[in-house]
Amino acid sequence: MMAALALPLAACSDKAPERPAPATTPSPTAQALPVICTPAGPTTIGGAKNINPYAAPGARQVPGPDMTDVPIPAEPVAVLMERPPDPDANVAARQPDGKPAGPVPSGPAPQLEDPACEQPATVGEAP
Amino acid sequence: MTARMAHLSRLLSAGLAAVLVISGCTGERSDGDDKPPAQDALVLAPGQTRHHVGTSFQYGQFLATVGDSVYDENTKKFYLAVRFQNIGDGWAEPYVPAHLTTASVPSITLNPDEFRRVPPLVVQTVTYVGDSVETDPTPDGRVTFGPPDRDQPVIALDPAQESTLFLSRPQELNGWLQIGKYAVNVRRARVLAGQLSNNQQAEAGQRILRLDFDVYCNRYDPVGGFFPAEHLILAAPGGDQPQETIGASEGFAPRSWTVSTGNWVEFVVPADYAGTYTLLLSSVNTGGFTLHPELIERVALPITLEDGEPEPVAKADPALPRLPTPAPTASSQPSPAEPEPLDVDLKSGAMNVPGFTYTPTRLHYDPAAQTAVVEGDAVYIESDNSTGDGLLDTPPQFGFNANLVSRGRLYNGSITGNSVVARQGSTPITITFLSVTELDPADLGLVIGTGTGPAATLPLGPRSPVIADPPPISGGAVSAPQVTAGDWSIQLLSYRVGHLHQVRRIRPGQRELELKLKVSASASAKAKGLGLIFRPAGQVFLLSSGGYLTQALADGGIGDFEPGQTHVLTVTFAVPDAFTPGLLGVTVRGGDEITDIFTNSFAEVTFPAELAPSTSDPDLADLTGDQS
Repeated sequence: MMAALALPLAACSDKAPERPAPATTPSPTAQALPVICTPAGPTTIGGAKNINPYAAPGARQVPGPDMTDVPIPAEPVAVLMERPPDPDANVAARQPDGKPAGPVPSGPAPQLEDPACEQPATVGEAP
Repeated sequence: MTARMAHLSRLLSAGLAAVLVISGCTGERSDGDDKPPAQDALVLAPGQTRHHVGTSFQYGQFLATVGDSVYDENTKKFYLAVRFQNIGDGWAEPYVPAHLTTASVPSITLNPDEFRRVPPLVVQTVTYVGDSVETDPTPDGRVTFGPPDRDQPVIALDPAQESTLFLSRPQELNGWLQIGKYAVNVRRARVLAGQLSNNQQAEAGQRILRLDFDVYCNRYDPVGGFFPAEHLILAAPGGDQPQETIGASEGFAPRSWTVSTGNWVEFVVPADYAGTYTLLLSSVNTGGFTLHPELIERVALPITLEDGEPEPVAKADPALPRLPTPAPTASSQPSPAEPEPLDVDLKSGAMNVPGFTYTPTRLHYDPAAQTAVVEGDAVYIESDNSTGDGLLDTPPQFGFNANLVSRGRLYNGSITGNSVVARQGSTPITITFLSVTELDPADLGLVIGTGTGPAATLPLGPRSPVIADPPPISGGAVSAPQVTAGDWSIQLLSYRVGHLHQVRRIRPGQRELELKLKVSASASAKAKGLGLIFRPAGQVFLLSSGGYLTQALADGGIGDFEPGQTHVLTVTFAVPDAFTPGLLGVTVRGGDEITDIFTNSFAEVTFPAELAPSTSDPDLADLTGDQS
């Protein structure tokens, strides 16, 4: 049986912009834990630029034909995940105004290379 | 000499004029060899002529194979053998009426001997009998299957003539749709003669388009969920009014960043279906109350259907056993010789019925009473947190549909006597089968299932038409690091693979992978509104494509903790039949979105888990207990 590991968690969110630099690949040691920022905003859908075939677990790719298998980490990898907002929230409230309910391509959580984990712009407006 | 051979010998020496069934079946899986299994010769009475038809077609959720016919010029009877193989999702009865037409006879009803409810992957051979057929209909006869309001296959009895039939037409397709929180990957498309979901043959002039797809979800929806029948619609070529599904897999509530496989929808398409259709996906639920459904937006995926070639019958499903040509039987005639009673030991081993193992040990057959009795031992294998001592605890019940298979026929059985199975050790269970008109121990098979999902099958004789399915339960140790996610410390202990739960959530071709884990709450953990709860099915996942997570089917119960407390729990995933133990990526979350819907962030830890090579210990008792 492998040695027991209790891993601390590091957080990233748009409410706390000053954070340590996140890593994007698995790390074998607890001292260099990867931190995957999961921004709340929308992302481009289907573009290969969002695909990182060497992504760490937790760095969800954009679902699509370019999606790849994520390697199983050799050691535990801990992340603090933040859900994107529901792109369909308030759908019913918008409809009486005659505005369509979507689409609002939220996409899955991409990796951020920006150490500050700054978030993209607003969500929820129909195109 | 076997009892069956002795029985034949007696019949032949007596010179009896009777049509005998010789069902030389083997229980082997297809291995790519196209050579049909060995088959006995059909013994014909004077005045009888045998013909080979050899045509297959789809009807409802069955693959029908018209085997051989026999014409009896003395009795003016016409016999036609058809084997129905269930290729659908659940149990169904191959109720297919048929009638014969020739150049001189407008229509003769062919009466089937019987129909039974057949589980997925299992076959039933039916003999149709036509009376008052004045001449051998083979040269110009045609048999029409099904009622006129449904698409009717018409089979020419002379194989040199053309038949009108339809077999599955696979389509090239691997497409993606994405809107809002959902992405759909359509991985398989087939044009079918009938629905695989509910055994309905397409209406006249129509076909069925079945799409199989995976759903990726990046945001848990606390109100709705993904319902294939609501989220997907289809627009025909040139059509401006999309149609809804006529069949779909069940809805579900995917948690954030999960992938759910095994979903399907069925649409109606015209018989001349070739063209480019448009599959439309919405992110929101469209059922129930919607203020302005016309304003719901969708994304589109073009799907081009081509005439194509039918799927080869032998490769329709690699899990289906290869069977010889069906031969007719005159089952409506009384047997001229009295079969002998049987009282034999059964040594076929154990079968894995959902939540139990069942080992048949003895068979009694009383031909005078037409009763067969199978005795055996049942062992409860389901993992749950119940000790059996609680007021609301109910003891495990061995409540299943059971069939005895012999000579292509299925005989219904029921549990007689005690059906309560002890939580520990084995319990004798007896199954009685009624109206067993004939029984051949050489081709005997046992089928046990819940009546809805896939069934367990076990060959009891060397020439049984059923295969041993599913494989025996296996399991072993899991090597994984102890990890911490939020308030929880988790250590994987062991695994099992099999049909482990009586409540079936898996589909044909799948088994359950159960992980057993030791979960400890931290001493500083604080209880929330519902207490300090660890829900394995909402907090333990398998790492999948693109970093998405495979959600569990179920768990053995939630853990209700005090700070610092430890429980052993289980969680169950669906895996293919061909699953082999090895290295898995496992993800544990510190919280469950269902019990804590207002939390938008949660700790996640992903780690390797090495499943040791499996052992086929029939008990695996050390892996099922310890549900503290």
